[in-house]
Amino acid sequence: MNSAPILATPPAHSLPGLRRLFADGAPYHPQACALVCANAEPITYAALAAAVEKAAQTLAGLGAGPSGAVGVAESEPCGFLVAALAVLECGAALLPLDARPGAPAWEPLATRSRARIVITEAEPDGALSVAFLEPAPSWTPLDPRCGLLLFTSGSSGAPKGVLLGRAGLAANIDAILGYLPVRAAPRTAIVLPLIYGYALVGQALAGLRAGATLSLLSEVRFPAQQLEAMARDGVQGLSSVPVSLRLLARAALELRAEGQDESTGAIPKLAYAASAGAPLDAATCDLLRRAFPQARLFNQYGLTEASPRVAYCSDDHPRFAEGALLPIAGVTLAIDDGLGHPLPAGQEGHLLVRGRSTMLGYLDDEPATQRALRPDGALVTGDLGHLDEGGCLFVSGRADGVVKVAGERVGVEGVAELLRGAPAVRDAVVVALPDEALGARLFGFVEGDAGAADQARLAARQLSPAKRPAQITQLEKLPRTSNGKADLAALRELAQRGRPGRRG
Amino acid sequence: MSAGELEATLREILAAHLEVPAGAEAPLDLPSLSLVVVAEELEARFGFVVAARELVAANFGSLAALVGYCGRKTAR
Repeated sequence: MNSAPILATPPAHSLPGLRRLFADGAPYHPQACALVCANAEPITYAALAAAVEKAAQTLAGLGAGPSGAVGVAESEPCGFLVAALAVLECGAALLPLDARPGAPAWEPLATRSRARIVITEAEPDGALSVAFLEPAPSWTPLDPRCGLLLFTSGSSGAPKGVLLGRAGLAANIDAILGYLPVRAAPRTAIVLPLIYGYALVGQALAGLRAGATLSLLSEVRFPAQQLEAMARDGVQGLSSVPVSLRLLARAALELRAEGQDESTGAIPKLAYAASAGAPLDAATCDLLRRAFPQARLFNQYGLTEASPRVAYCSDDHPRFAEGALLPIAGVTLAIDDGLGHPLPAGQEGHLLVRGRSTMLGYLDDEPATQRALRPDGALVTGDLGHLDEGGCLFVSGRADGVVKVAGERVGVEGVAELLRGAPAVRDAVVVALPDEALGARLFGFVEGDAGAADQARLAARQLSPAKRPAQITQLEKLPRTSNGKADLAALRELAQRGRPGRRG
Repeated sequence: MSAGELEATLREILAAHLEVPAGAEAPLDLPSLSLVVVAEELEARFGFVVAARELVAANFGSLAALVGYCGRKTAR
């Protein structure tokens, strides 16, 4: 079921790793440049294939194979990709782990995933350093269809492991290549860490599938340096999140003000700039158009549970500026009332996604899987929105009290629940206020005995930085509505008054 | 705003992104994405514009460097 597709005439050059996903064997041109990395020689597809073969043989010799996960905790992007493709080639589930400085320890996620092998270093020639983890006492195999195990940020509690099937990943990658002009503009910059599904699947694997040259810049920290590297590498396509695109556009505009442009080699001639994570606002579109006048702009919408892309829109669509989105190939969208009753066009409700790319389920969490996947296979996205008469999707927000802080999905109720666990806290409420830079910012209010706020702050230190309330305030009594519920409007007002001064 | 108040404010801004080291001179390992978010947060909070060319280690490499940078920008 999960072995490589059996082809009557396999292509002479099948890219290891990807050939386990695609029915055509993922052909490539051996002498084309695959990867351009900082501080290393460019790597051709032939060299990449050889490195992946070597790494895959090492993994197979260690017992890696279907129904098990292999972790990749390599922060250097070139080595990460070699390791990731080798894991796919073995038929194992790829488990990306965050090994960047300051990231939480990856061992707990690897243990939860039942990964017995974690690649801690991978060289561009395929040499691996691995760590071996003790198998859990009751080892249960993973779904053998699983090709990728991605952990969500755990917006409302512990991170959830999302099991993505190989067939779904392949369908999603080919659908992305159906609208994003990677084949026509095949020099792509990757500025986001490859542990993100957006960067790994939507950019790196899609780029390799298209035979593109990936300019791996996630380790280049500063926008001006990223732009310089993009110009040096002749980058034609860029995908990122709006805040990153804005700074890159501003870096380009500063160079233009100094008389630099594409002809001087200081600014890359972009054919497209694509956003995900949030739609591009009008000001960011304006910046991008002035910075990269030839670039088509794309908005994209997706979620990890959908492998990840669901919908997109390019700026030649008449309703692009309104945030319209079109389903990618193979995906159908529907809106219902949250109870399974379909809603007509124009009416806002819960967004459902159907198609081959929806996840297999959550790791070891059947209740959450049942909540997210309807019996007919529809994925409940947790987002609200509506479809217009022409089938365009407009997403309006989250249905479950989840907000994005610094790009991370955070469930405010999960944070409040944690604060309530502090001994001196009788009750706690967390509210989110919009924030120009972070997207949203959390404010906690606690009611309780002396020291409740200090205890709540201590409890909040268990959370990732994005989930920690910016302020935790102790109140004698939480304001309540007439039916006894916390008065969220009053608390938002209090939070607004108490937040540090901002530009007017 | 005093230097102490500025440092406290910057610690609060940075805390949404990483464990801020106790020592102001210790390197700040801000990932590239967090760095650009912090830059926008500084603009929103203080009202100055962070030029892309100012996003360099000399200004963002440590808390002390960031305090110095923001102090210079707000003094203009």
